[in-house]
Amino acid sequence: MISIVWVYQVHIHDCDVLVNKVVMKKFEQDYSLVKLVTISLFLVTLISGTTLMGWLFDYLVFASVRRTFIPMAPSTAIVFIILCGGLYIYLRSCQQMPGWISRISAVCSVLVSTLILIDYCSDTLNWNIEGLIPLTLRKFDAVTTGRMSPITAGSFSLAGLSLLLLSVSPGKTRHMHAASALLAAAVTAVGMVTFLGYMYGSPLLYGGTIIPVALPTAVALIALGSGLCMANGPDFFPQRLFLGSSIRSRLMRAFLPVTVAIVLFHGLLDARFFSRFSNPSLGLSLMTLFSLVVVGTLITFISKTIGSEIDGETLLRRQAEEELRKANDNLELRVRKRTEGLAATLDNLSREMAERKLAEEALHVSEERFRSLFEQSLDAVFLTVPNGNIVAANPTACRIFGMTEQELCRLGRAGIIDANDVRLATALEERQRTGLINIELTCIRKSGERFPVEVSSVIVPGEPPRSFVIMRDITERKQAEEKLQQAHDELELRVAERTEELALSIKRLQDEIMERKRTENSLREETTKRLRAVEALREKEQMLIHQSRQAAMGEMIDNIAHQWRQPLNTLGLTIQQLSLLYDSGQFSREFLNQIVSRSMKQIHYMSRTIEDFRNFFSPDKQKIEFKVRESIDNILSLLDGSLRTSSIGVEIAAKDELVIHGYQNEFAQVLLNILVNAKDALIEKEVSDPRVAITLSHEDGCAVVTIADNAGGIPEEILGKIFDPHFTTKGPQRGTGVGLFMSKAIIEKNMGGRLSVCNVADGAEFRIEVCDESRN
Amino acid sequence: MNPETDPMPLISILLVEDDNDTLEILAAIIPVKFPDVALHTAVNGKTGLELFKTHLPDIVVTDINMPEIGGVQMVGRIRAIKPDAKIIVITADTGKATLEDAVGEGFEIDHYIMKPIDFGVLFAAIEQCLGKIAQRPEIFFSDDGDYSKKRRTAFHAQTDSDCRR
Repeated sequence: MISIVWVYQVHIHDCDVLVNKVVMKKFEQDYSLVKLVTISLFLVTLISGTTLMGWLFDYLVFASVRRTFIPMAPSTAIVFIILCGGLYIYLRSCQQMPGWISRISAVCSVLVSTLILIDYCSDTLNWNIEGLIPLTLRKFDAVTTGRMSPITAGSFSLAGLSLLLLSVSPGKTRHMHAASALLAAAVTAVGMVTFLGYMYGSPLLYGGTIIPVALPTAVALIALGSGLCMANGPDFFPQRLFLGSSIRSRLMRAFLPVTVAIVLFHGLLDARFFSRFSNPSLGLSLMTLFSLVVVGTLITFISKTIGSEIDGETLLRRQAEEELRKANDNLELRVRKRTEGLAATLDNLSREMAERKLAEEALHVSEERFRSLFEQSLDAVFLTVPNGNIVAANPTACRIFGMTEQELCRLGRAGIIDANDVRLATALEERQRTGLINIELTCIRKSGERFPVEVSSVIVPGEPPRSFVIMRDITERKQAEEKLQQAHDELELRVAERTEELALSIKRLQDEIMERKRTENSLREETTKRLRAVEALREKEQMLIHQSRQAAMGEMIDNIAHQWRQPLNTLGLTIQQLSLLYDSGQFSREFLNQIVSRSMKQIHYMSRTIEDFRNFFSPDKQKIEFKVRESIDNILSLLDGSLRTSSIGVEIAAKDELVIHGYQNEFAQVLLNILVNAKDALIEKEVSDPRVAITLSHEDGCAVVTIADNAGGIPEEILGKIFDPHFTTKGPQRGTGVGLFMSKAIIEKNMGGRLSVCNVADGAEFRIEVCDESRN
Repeated sequence: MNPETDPMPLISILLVEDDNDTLEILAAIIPVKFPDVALHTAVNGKTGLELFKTHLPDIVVTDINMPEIGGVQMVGRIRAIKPDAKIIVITADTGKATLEDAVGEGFEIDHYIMKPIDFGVLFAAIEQCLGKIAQRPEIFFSDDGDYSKKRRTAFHAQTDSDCRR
């Protein structure tokens, strides 16, 4: 509460700043504080000075107001002046006032007040320092006036200490400043308590033995404490709470003083006036109502002012932020655009530089090239002026004309071109007109010799105009041309002769071609006819092959029938035997086993037979090595049934082991055909002891198989026809005439061998010869 | 049964067959069916003829296709010895042509049976032959030429279908 009262003083000054919406800056704040401190020092000095004057002239202004008021002690006034002086010097220390003076004054005041306090508290000590001041002392009740109160002495100790801390480290050590400000605040508090005691009508320590504090002393203490506090600057407690432009400080400045003032005022009224009313409740109610109105009005006013200010500021800030953001965006956009533009320009520049560099290089190369062209050209090159002056000539020109470049330049056109050449005037005129010419002229060498040249010239427009002249010595070419012309004429003559001859040949050839075409047509017709015949033959052959297959099939089925007849019979008997034996009661396990094994034997035999036939009929896919003896044995086993039925004996004489590379089944078919023919012949002729003899042998590296029968042989008149297709001796029911034809085809076409027949002693002998291809 | 030691062999049969299995089965079965008949067996025409000469059987059952002496040849000779001997020929398909040729030339037989042999047919043929033998008053164990008059051309009278009655 004490500090609140002090703060209100600050507020008085501060309020206009706040209302005028001036943003306080740091140095202004400091300046205001200094001003405030100065004012409080002035106030303290005024009070103390007045008191001292009163004591000197014995006219104590304050004590004369009321009888109960005591005056400030002279020692107190002196200490006040010392402290004020110290503080003032501290404030001005920056303006060449030595800082140590304020420290000395602080130490002095601390020493004096401490001594007074110790003297007062101690019963034994009796220094009576104040007695040094020669004044008449008065009495107020039990205590002496004109003597310093112990409370005042304590306060001075604190104030002196505060000034010492302040002056020892001005603006350097934060902790010391904080301590100094706190001590000063304590001093202010002491003064405030005393002041309130007077205000409420019951001054402290009155009526006791302890010397009370005088009202001017209390006021001076408050002023001094405040001054000390503020001297520490705005950054320290307690003034820190109220200073600055922050919302907190402003609200504190606005509300706290009003609140405190109301409370104090309320208390003052209560203490001073209401106690005298006969009806205190009425007074209290009126007071409360008044307070309510005043406080409400004040708070409404403050809230409105500060609130609208804050709102305005917030709005302003937002607008400012928005504008700032826009400006920023705008700036960024412009920076980006500018950067892009710069990058593009940079690109262009570097591209241009590269192009220029390339162009320079190209120019250099071109220059070199043209120079070498000029220097090393095999033609004479002149750089001239159209009027006939020569500016430059290349080495070839010098060589051709037999002059130096200087001589050529000096002579000019007139000196090197024969002016008598009628073509010259025309050429110059044409060049003037068209800008270029290409013509043959006559030139003169240094020796005076005239020679033909081919001249190309072009005028290069410009100021002055230039012209290029290129000359080629065509002496040799001219000579060659003449020779060529002669040769050409001769050739023409010869060509004419030759052409005549050729025309005759062509006529002859055309006649010949016509003749040949006629022949070719007739040949083509003949060929067509032949092809048709071949086609017919091929169809016939196909038919024969088909027939032969059918015949072979029939033969085979016949053979199967032969082979199966006997086993089928046996099997039939065996099965029938079962029921008979059963009926007769002779059926036994032994019998059954015997019958089963016999049946299985027959079935296996039949199965094997049919397998042999199947193998025989499967077509050969590729040539293989096979043993002839095996093939013969297989065929004989196939034919076994029919041979046995016809009681035909077969003898085999194998002199050599024969192996043939070829189609095994086709070979077997040949054997089968021959053997069946032999069998048929033997049956037909009813030979009493039918026999077939087979021999196997090697002759000159070829495998030879002969098959001979004893059926009397083949009649000589048909011996040459038996391999023809459709030739048969067996009659239409039995023979197709295909078997031997096919056999010959198989042996001779497919296996590259030979099949022949001849008559031997008592029958026919077929002879198969197969020579191994790989061995031959 | 041994026909040589048996005191009263009424009827005897000669069986000629070159296939051993067939011969064996028939030799086993016929005595079972006809227990009172004496049976002689031969594996070819030659042996068959020799046995016939020895035993003069009443009935000859023979195959046609045989080594050494064929069926037809053998029967021809048997007829010459005993004209009323009952001849039953067994033949396969291939032998049929031979048989027909032979019959066309005057060859006489009582029955012919096609292979594969059906016992029923065979037994019926034998029974028929036995029946005919039973009708005759004479006893047949001589090679008396009188019987030749009673020869019958069985082939035409007795057909295969008769045998299947």
